Amino acid sequence: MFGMRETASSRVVFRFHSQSCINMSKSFFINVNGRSLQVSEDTSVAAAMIMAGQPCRRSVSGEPRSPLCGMGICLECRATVNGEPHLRTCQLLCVPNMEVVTE
Amino acid sequence: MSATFDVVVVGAGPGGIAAATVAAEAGLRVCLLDDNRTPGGQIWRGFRAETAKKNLHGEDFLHWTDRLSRSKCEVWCGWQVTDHPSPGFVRVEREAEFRDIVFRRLILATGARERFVPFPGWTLPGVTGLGGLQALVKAGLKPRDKRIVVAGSGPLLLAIAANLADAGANILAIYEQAPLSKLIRFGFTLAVHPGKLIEGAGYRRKLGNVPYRTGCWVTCAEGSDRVERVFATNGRKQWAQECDWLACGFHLVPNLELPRLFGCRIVDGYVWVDPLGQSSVQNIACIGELTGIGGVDKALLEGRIAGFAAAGRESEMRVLAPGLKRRQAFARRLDHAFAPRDELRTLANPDTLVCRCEDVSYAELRECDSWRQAKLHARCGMGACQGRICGTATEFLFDWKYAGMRPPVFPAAVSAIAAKVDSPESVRH
Repeated sequence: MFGMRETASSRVVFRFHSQSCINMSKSFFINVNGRSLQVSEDTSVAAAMIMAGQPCRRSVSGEPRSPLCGMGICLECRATVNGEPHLRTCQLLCVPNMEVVTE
Repeated sequence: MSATFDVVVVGAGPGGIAAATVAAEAGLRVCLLDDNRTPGGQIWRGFRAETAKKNLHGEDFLHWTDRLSRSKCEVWCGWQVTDHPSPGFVRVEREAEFRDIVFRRLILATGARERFVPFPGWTLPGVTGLGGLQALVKAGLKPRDKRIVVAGSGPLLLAIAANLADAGANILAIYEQAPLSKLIRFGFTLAVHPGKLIEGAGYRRKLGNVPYRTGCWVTCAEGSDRVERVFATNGRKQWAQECDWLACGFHLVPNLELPRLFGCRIVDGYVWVDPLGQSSVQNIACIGELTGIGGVDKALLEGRIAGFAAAGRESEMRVLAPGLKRRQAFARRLDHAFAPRDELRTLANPDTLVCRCEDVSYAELRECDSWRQAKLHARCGMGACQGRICGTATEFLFDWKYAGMRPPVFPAAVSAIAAKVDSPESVRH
């Protein structure tokens, strides 16, 4: 019953360690609103969208919006990632070939 | 699906890590939850072993993360607490998967967020929080050669401006809204915390000749698709400044959503705790910024006390407890020194948006007389952030009591909201 959880949590602890050992950060490409963007590993999707000059979402009255709080509170950074809508992009790391779309 | 722990700690910042580590070292089964992808909270965000030593807070980080990883504590990252479906349970969610966790004791260490004060243009892309910009830079945003105005209030102003300058940003100016007279009085009281004074002086040195102007604040941001210039004032004259980014936040406020959800008593904007950190709810402790904005030292101390309390180690608790009063007094002095000035209540124009989720303007809110009415009539606070940003803003602007929220405390999948709780009998211990 706890097997899955233990796997998941030990992976998290491992990741915590392995991150501390990485000196060189690799880079790769993601897609933001159809344009290719090179980002380094450990870049959040929110940071990538700012660097791409793209808003994360349009507000209910149509204003472009970008991240405000950077820490998962304000939800201004919601965007569609790999087809999944309303994700908090400041809490999400880029992975190669990710498709990010303003919503 | 459920799991059972002696202690569940929510929030893996310094306080939560210390509490979880101490409890796990005492032999308890502990689960440390955080909605971020890695532990560390805000102050240790993005720290790494090989570079941490350069940082002022690096030693504490190395000490505690080492102890945490040696302990048997389970660390669940990326999990968000969304509900409290019945006594002794928390419901957590990650990527539309949810679980119920049974706890005997709960330690809340949910930290703080920035206070935002609405001003014309604050919704433009390029206007971020102060800690917000710092968090984004730690998450890979490159500030090199960007012209940045740093504004708002609080000790974070200098620290964050120094970090941004370190990363190659062109800091144009730092505007602290608190008047110099208040800061001087605060500076004198810092004599009992010499470490803090030295920390401040170090940041100042790093910033070279960037102007740090007290009694000044940003009144408005302008630009077509993003911020292009800001206007600042000292209360007598106003001036414009071209910039790429404005980082603006007014000190910090505690994240009280979970303490409220669990029914902890709140007094003067913070969770009430007894001298040993125990909240008004019998098996719940609240630590760190929840009991007063006092930073990492206070959080670590309260975390250790809460960890020992969970393990029933009275003697260790009593050794540490005398330090608490001094830290909590420091927190109250910070609040006083950096309290937002009255002029900030008059920055918003009638058409300035106060609720960013539902685009509710200042003019619409002026017609309302309470937070409840604003929700019902104008949909203020009914959007995705559930009033986290505008609730704090309207508390300041209109003196409304932001009554908190109902579960789910974060937008959650319908399946996670509707699911029944596993009955305690079905939970295997």
